[in-house]
Amino acid sequence: MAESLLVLITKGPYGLEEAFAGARLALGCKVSGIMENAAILLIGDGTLNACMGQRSEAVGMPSNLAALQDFMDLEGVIYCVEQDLHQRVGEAEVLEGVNMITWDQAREVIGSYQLVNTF
Amino acid sequence: MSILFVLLKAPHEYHSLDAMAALGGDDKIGALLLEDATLYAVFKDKKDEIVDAADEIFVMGEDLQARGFRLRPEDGFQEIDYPRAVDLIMEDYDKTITL
Amino acid sequence: MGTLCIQLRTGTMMNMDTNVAVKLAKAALDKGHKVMMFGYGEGVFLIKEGQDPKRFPNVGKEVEALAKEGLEVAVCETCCIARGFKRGEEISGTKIGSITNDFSRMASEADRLVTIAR
Repeated sequence: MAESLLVLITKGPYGLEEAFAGARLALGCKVSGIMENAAILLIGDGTLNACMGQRSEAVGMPSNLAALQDFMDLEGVIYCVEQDLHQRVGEAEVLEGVNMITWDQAREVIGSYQLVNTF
Repeated sequence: MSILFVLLKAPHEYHSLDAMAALGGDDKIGALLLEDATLYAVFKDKKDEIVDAADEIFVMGEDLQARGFRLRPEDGFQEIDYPRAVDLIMEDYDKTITL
Repeated sequence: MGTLCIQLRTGTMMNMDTNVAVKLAKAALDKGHKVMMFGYGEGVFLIKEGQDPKRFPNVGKEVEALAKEGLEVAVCETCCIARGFKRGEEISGTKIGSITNDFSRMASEADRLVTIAR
């Protein structure tokens, strides 16, 4: 029996549907009333999903930022490994409310969730 | 805590195994290699990378055999079948993370 | 004995992910574990009725047989609709369901979750 699920997003936005699908799955779990303790952790290229300034309409796709915001609107918690984001794009403005964390903190997050679902 | 990382893709499809080491930290790290990921056990330039990243490495025997290779005992990889993979997932490790 | 949830997100052809998921499910069932599978994204085709590969294993038939042995299978309806996979076209003993009702429950019942995806 599990009471907590961590959605681990490793893929960047728009090239693949993975990140969007992960955000929607986390949202679905959150609203289910069954697996409410669901959170999102962004690592690697997945950290790019938190970057402001995305214009998904440029490629006719739904917004990954909006998908993350929807999750946070339901009090969903999102973590983002700061080092991975900085390695890729340097200083970047990120979606307000996303928790920027270190790798040590990310490991603690992983340890505190029973199931990990990678996207 | 112990984490079993599940790898399905060919070695060159992974930029690096840094994520495995970063996610695993000081925990016991196992690597379950399936499909093209079994080639980690034979690619000369990739073998050391996974040996460095994981404490235990399990290779799905049928996937490696299908590709025409076999393990060398001196490399330290463990050849497994599906029943053993189930034991690793359900009993030997606390959680699984697919990369 | 424990409970295993397998989430599958790749389609039934072009790579062996589905074969891996089905083999893992069968091995876990054979050991007496409870096993549940959820198809998300391309993974919904796992339960499409009428699969007829000429040279490759028919995972549709395998899933149908495993469902009779106790494997619970559901897939995401939104993903099915997006792909033109209609309700009524699913393999007997499987279900077109949802993340909210089915995956969430499967995850809550699971001791372990394995993601099979690229």
